[in-house]
Amino acid sequence: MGHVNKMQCPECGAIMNHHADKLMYESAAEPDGASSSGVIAEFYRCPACGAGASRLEGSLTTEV
Amino acid sequence: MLDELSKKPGIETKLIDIATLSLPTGDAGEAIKDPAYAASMDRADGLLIVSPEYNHGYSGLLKHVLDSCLKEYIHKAVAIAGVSAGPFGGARGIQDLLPVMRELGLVTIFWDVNFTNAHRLFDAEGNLLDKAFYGRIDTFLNELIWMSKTLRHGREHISLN
Repeated sequence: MGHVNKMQCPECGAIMNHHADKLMYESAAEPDGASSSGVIAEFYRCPACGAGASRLEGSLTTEV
Repeated sequence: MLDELSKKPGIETKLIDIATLSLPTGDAGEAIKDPAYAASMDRADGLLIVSPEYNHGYSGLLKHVLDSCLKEYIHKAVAIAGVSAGPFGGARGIQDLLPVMRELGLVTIFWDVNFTNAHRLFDAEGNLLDKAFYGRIDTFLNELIWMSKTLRHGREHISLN
């Protein structure tokens, strides 16, 4: 589930390590009749400061 | 457990009594996240759950609290100690917790501690009366610490890709 966009640590700015993916079902966000295929959430940890972060696959938005 | 963990060098431990968390019951999951609990889970490298067994299962309150976080748990170690009034020491509750741990992204160690006949095993001050437990607890904690350190290294340095 790799992608080219590196995740930058929101705490210290270092490049984070991508260590996990998880299939997520966000039923509240799906309109009626939408398929429940889910989305991949990516999970990161910072090797410099230990902070964690996550984002949806392919997204440039950081959710901490 | 806290006393035994405090004897391990380089280990910082925080006790969380889930009965003191006031999570709402009108919803569940990350929608009811408690900021202080979530921050503790984010900071932790490993969890030690002490789970009393009720009617052959773990408590509903424990599930409610665990479900309130997700990303804070992923690829962290968890050890479970069962407690019951009977001869199995919470073993059935532990077995039922294992698939929940997996779905939360936690990694279980393969040692348990089972506090059997709990009403006779501890004195009124909570001191463990059967000294034979201490060896097992030490092994259990050592494995949790090893797994916690190993997974921390993995989270920070070993990439999926």
